[in-house]
Amino acid sequence: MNSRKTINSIFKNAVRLSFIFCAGILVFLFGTIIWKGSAAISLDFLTKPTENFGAAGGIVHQITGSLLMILTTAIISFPIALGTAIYRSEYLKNPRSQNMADTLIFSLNGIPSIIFGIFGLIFFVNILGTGVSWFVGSIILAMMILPTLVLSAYQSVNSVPSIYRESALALGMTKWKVISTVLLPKGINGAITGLLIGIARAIGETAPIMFIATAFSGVQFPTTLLQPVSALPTHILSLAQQATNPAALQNAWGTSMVLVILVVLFSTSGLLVRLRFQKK
Amino acid sequence: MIQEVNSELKDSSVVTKLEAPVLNVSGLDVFINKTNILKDINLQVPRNQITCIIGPSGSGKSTLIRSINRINDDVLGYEKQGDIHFQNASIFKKNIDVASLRKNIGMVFQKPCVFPKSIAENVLFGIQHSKKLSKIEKAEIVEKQLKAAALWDEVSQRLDQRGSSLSIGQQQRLCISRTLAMEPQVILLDEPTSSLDPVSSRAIEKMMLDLKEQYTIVFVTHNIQQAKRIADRVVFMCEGEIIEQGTTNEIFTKSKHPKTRSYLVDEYCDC
Ligand SMILES: Nc1ncnc2c1ncn2[C@@H]1O[C@H](COP(=O)(O)OP(=O)(O)OP(=O)(O)O)[C@@H](O)[C@H]1O
Ligand SMILES: [Mg+2]
Repeated sequence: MNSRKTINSIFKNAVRLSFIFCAGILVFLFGTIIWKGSAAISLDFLTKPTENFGAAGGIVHQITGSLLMILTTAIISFPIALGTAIYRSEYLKNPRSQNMADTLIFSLNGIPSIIFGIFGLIFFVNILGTGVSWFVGSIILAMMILPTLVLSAYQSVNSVPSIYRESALALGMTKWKVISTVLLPKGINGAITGLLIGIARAIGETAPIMFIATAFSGVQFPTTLLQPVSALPTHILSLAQQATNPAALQNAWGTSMVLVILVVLFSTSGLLVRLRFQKK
Repeated sequence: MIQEVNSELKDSSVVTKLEAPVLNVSGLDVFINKTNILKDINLQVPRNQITCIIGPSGSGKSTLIRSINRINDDVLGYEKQGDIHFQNASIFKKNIDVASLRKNIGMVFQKPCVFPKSIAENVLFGIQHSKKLSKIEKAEIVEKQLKAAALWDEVSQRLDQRGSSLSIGQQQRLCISRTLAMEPQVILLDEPTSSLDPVSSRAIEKMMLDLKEQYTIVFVTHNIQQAKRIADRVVFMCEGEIIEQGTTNEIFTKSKHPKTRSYLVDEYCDC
């Protein structure tokens, strides 16, 4: 009896320790970024263009560049993910093709982001001759986050109990009507959750876009699809390479803080959307 | 009273002979994953009568009625042999429009399934997709069909509330009125009262008796007493076969088959 109690308390303390460790890392990371970053942040920093390779001026073009790419990524990936999820859930009935589809989605999810970058460089920039283009960057980011969206949308479409499908079919509705009125609304919820989580990941990625979509300095807001932009993560990379210059380093912290705030914004809203739909 | 029942029985059997059955199942065999679930089913469903299908759990009652509106088509590994005729045309004909078949053969399931919409929208859920309706027509349909399903008095003041706010028994009647709104020829009901309390069950039974004036009803039930109360014809199934069928009177008073008799007495059948 006593030993059982001891084991219980050892176990309880062990899991508590893991939790404290996890929370500690987070607090330490956020704490450092806010402490170092807030010194750099000002209205000018957020609204002025970069000067002197980032050591001076602001990051307005990096913010708009990142947001532009992410928005386009969202517009590209959302319908494709929704379609894939519905096809997987409602039309692929044979277990072998279901397995094959799942394997495809999971392996796409497992590909390291640098591979996407290299693929984009070879296929778009070199073979198709697009040059460095923010739009190509959005396409590549859309490919990268597609599995996150598909899985999230698929789970919510597939979790609609089959009695809803059957009841709607029994009322003489065509399969497409059932999908568009009963299943799509559900699938959209899941896809939005996946989208916010996917975007939170995509906005911080450096590797997929650094060769194909971004330039490090002297970039304005693009006016065509085939121009480069500046983006937050690649800007941090270039500032970190000038770390001997304290002004550049401080701006690297400031840019990091802006990026982290955006990521937290997207992922918490993803979480909120998920919670809201679970309640229904 | 007895005379009345007798004359009613006579009337209905005359009608049966004169008019072709609405549904005619002939030599139907159903396999799911190569397992023979239904064996050589032959069944005729006369118009404007209640045909009750009874039998122990797993005997294939649901599979049979789910074949009639072809909702089983989507079940993985479903295969069938034989034929089902609805108003003299095969429901398995090549180019048949399954959606419009289902508009004519409605179905109510065991568990009520309301859509996450208002009570009124639930009544209109099916019909508004097959017909353009004006606001007035919609309001008329909602009132008429909720009345037909004996639900109007309880919900007329709260038509905009969510369907899920109703009690389970009310939800089942809402599902019935949703099916009635399609104005089908045949209504298939798969144990619609098995998740309901006795009062709601009786309300639905009474409703069935009113509805058979207009509709042809196929009613699956576990409950022998219920079949006795509402059925014109009774079909007894066991292990995927029809053991015996006939008018309610024939089955309950002069059943020929020992299995039927033992099921009616003990609700048990060692088939
Ligand atoms: N999708 C399916 N896959 C495999 N077997 C099935 C499937 N649907 C039904 N069956 C089998 O078919 C047989 C008949 O089932 P069915 O649901 O028609 O019985 P039932 O008479 O309606 O029973 P209950 O009274 O319990 O509803 C059962 O043995 C069941 O296991
Ligand atoms: Mg059943």
